Amino acid sequence: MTSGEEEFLAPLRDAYRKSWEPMAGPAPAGPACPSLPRIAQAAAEGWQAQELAHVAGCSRCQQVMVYEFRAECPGFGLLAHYAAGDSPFAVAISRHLEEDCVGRCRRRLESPWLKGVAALLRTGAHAEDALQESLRHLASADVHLAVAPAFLPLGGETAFQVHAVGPGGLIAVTLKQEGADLVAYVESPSTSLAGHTVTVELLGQARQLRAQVILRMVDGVGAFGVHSFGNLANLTSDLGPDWEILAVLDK
Amino acid sequence: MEMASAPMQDAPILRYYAGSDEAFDELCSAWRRRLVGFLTALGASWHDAEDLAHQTLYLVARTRVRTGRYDPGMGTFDAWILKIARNVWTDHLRQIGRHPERETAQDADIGDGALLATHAEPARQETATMLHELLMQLPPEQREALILHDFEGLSYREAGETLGVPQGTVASRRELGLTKLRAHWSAGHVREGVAT
Repeated sequence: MTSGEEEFLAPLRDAYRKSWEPMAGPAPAGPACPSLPRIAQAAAEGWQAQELAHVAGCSRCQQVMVYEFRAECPGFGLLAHYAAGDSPFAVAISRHLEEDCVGRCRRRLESPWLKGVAALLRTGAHAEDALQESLRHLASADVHLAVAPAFLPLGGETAFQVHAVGPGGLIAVTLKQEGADLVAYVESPSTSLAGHTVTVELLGQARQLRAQVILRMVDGVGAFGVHSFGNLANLTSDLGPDWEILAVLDK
Repeated sequence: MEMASAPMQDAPILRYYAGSDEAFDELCSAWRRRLVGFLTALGASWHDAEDLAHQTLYLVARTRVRTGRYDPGMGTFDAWILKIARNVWTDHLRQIGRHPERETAQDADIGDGALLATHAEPARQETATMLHELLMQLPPEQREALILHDFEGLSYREAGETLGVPQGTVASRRELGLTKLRAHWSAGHVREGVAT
């Protein structure tokens, strides 16, 4: 930096730094408000009951949860409670949906499976256990079509394939293009799941496709099921360019 | 220009990562106003800058939970937190781009930023006001380079990492911005009759 530059910038830097002096800020945290580090920790590892009771009615804490959801969208469990109308983060999730334009969360809220879970949550105390059990056997993956379906090579090539493994690796789902069709494969390394049903949903922008896939034993290797959603080109006009494939073991 | 950063070994961020939530309070006290000033200098309204600064501090708090450690490879803490704030700002711009009606509603708020520090003495307040107005006249990429290097004290390398461009690009953008700022400043002083 030349001395002329420094001579010019010094008073400006001084004025700029003056702006850092204390002024009235946003509403401070109340005595019951968890600190920012605590909210970050609780969002990742779980909340205490009294914290949840406070957060549900605190505008400052809901605002911080908006930040959390901007960093990481609410998962299926939180959205299920939101859909059931009993979420302590309802304000934050509503603002997240409204302000952050998250097509993914909106698509999830249209999931028939999630709506079913929400209906169950409204009815009884055991529903929470059922939800947590489902979440342990759920696999999902996002799909983004970078090109319009008309430009996808629908010959013998596979234009795209996505794969997701659920927690613990019990359920995995693969969505791929096979020829002109869109096909979902569900698999599990556990042969004990043979005969069980897996709900597979394809969540698109204006349409949700749903199938029940029965897992069959494969030579002692595991359990396996497949479902074709049909012609890819015909589907994508309703599904739009962004989808999510969801597979959850029925209990 | 290389401004000295605080010695890292005793920095609040390291003590926070070591488990001290009190250190995070120190960090907030030291940075909240500075972040608001930085964000208004980038172009945020006062109201948005307050919110985005709070969001930045939350994201800093969140990294301890999500990553478990502060990586000195990320550069100085100043560069790191300013990068987070800048990312939050660009995300916000994308968001209001999808909500033009909200952007319009906030237009009246733009310009009342932290650079108009209300309790600064009149001459300095006038300087701050004029600086803010002239910074807003610069192309955003030149404004960012100038602010990060000359007002926030980042090296060209750190500013380049913050902006995701080579340091040579930062230097040339900063040079162009500074040239324009000086020209506008001189013209503004002649027009307004503000004493230098």
